[in-house]
Amino acid sequence: MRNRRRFRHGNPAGGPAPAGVRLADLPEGTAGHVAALVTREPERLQKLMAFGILPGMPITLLQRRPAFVFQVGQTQVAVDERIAADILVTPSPD
Amino acid sequence: MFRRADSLLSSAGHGGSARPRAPRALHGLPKVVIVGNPNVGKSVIFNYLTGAYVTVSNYPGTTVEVSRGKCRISGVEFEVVDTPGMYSLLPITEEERVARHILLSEHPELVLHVVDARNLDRMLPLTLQLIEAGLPVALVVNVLDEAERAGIALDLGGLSARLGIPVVGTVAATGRGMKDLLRLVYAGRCPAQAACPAGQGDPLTAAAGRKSGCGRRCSTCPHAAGVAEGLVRPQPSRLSEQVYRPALKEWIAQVAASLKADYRLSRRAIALLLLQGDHEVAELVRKSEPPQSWRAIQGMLKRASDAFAEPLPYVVALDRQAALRPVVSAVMRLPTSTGPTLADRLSALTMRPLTGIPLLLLVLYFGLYQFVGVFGAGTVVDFLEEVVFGRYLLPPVSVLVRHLIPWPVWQDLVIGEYGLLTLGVRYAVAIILPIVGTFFLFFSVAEDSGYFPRLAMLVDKVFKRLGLNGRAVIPMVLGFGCDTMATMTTRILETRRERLIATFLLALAVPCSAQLGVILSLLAGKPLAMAVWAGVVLGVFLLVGWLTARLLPGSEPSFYMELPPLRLPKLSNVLAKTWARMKWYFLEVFPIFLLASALIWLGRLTGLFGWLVGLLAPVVQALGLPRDTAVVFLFGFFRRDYGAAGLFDLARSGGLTVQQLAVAAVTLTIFIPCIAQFSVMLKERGVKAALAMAGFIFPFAFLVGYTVNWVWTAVAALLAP
Repeated sequence: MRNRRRFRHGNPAGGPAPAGVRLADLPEGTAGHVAALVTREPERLQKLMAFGILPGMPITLLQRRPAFVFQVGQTQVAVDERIAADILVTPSPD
Repeated sequence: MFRRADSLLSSAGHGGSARPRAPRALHGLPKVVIVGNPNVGKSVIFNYLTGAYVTVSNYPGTTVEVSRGKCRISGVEFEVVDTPGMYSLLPITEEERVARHILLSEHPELVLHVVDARNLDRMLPLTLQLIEAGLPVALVVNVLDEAERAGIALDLGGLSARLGIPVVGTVAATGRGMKDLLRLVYAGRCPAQAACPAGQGDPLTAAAGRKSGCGRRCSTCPHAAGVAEGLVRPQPSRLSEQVYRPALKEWIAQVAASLKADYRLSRRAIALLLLQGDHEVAELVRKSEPPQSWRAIQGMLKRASDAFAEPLPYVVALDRQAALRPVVSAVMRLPTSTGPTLADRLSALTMRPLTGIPLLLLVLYFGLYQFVGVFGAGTVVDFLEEVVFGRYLLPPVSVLVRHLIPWPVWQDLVIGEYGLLTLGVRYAVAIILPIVGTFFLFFSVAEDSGYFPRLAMLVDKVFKRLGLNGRAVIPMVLGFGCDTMATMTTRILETRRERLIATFLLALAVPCSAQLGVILSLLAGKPLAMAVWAGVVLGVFLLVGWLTARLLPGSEPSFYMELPPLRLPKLSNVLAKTWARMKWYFLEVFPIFLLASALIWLGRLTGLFGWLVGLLAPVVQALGLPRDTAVVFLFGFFRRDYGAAGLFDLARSGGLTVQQLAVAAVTLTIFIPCIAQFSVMLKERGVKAALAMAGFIFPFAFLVGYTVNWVWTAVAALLAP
């Protein structure tokens, strides 16, 4: 199954994996943009995309405990730590 | 679960048995299908369009509910279908499969895609897919008021021009823009009004329809002249030509060219779904195409997926997003920056453990304990039971029955100790209905305010220990209303393992509102018994859930959920939901109550009832309970709440000590699920799983009851001077 392997997204040209920090590793209040989604499950990927979590979208981490809550675009989403580790973020400079 | 995959999309499937049964009166009417994400206001729009004439039924072969109704605009009738929430034309959940099936098998004349104005960017990809599929789609941009409040400005005319489809802006909850929506629906049917000079054809002004000759089929309307096609059918717009990167476009063209059979969707749309790994569509194509060409297509799909570094659904989504980005940025202006609103602040408070847990306790105390327990199960039940039934209804009816039916045996069936009226109707109407009604009211308010997703994220970590994820909090809370309904709702959980665990815990340790209401009012004023009952049941819930999660193989569940903004629930929506749930419940419970009364009457007549009570009596007595409680447990077989109501009667007559109350309440809570719940367990989880659960729960309930009684007696002896 091709989808089983772990892959990185956001580099359609097939170049080096995009630089990004796992959402799960960011401190509360960090703002930035989604760099890539990293997951092996196609259905989960599809769900995340349905929430509007796609490369380039502005994202802000609002809360880490008891679950990860973030704002992407105009939507707030709550996820557990494993999924938060699937989302790579490029934090804004400030 | 969805057995009719083969008929999906195929033209042969139409009109056959796969076609959902619409109410007779709706047959033949032009169809308007409402689609969109969950929580965008589809139902409110549906209710606005249809008014009172609505039927809700399970989609054939599934447990997914679909609402259908009739809409009448200026003398023209439409069938309106409200579909389950869908995020994408590529389905993941059964709800999405049903929604897609309706779209593609029922020949809608108009598809209303309802979106949330604030989230236009992430909802437009579905619009694009609907356009690609060749459906007659119009966009309804709803919740405009909240978008405006958030400082978002939208250019709906520009959006319509760029997408090549009609766009209407609405605030369904207040009715704003709904007249435009009616005009649009009407125009989709008969476009005369759009072309009519001087507004003659405005369907909303009286007599206009008649004047312009509307009210007949578009094809026969002299005014039609192709306007309908231009208005609602999407133009092969330049946008949809420019969505995908050239490499992908080539693969789409190649796959589409190999498709020879006749499909309901365009070959291009079928090719796109195939490339994204849609199993249902693959199955359909396998059946429709000759074997050698299917093999060729499979080879093509494999090569295509190898040609891209990422999975194709992702590539497709990226391209759609890229194509829509300029559209969104041209028509949507976001606010520069606004401070948090009051709702934002409150939302944050509900999600921080430090404030969220006390808030949860407040919600439970006022919502469940005070409103359902004290008011519903206390005040309302007392009034209905003692005043309405006891004083006004039963005495004259008893006299009447004795007068009309001379035989005591038949008198007994109606007004005896366990009679149809004295027991069946009284339990159902006077004891159970007020409790369930107040619970459903509480549940609907919590649901509409957007509180549940916040609760789900708050409890996710605890639920993970039980092999569930936070999402399971919704069936669990609903279980406190009706475990039968909640068992059906376990479908929202993603894996079979989670559904099994949730079903089991619902059957084991979640008391339904009737049970809860009765038990709370029984134990009110007896804090020790209340604490023992709550502690033991919660302990059993956590311990057995934890053990089940250890023993049941399977992967760990994952949690992700959208948090809709907190909003003040709209009274009419809350009442409509509560009413629908109460109706469902009453239709479910009432026949069973009557049947139970009749069976008990028959059992007493034949001596079978006494024999069963005699059989159960030693078990009950081993728990330190009086012999009469055996009757209560026997009732519990018919319905949990029936048993609880029996306990209520027994306690009222003053037959139980505090210790006995606690033991009986614990045992009855854990005791076997009622017939209705068990039948849903059979249907949803299969015979083997349902029997295994029942086989565990039955002895386990008595074991726990026995233990509680034993420990209580031992501690009491120790503490005694």
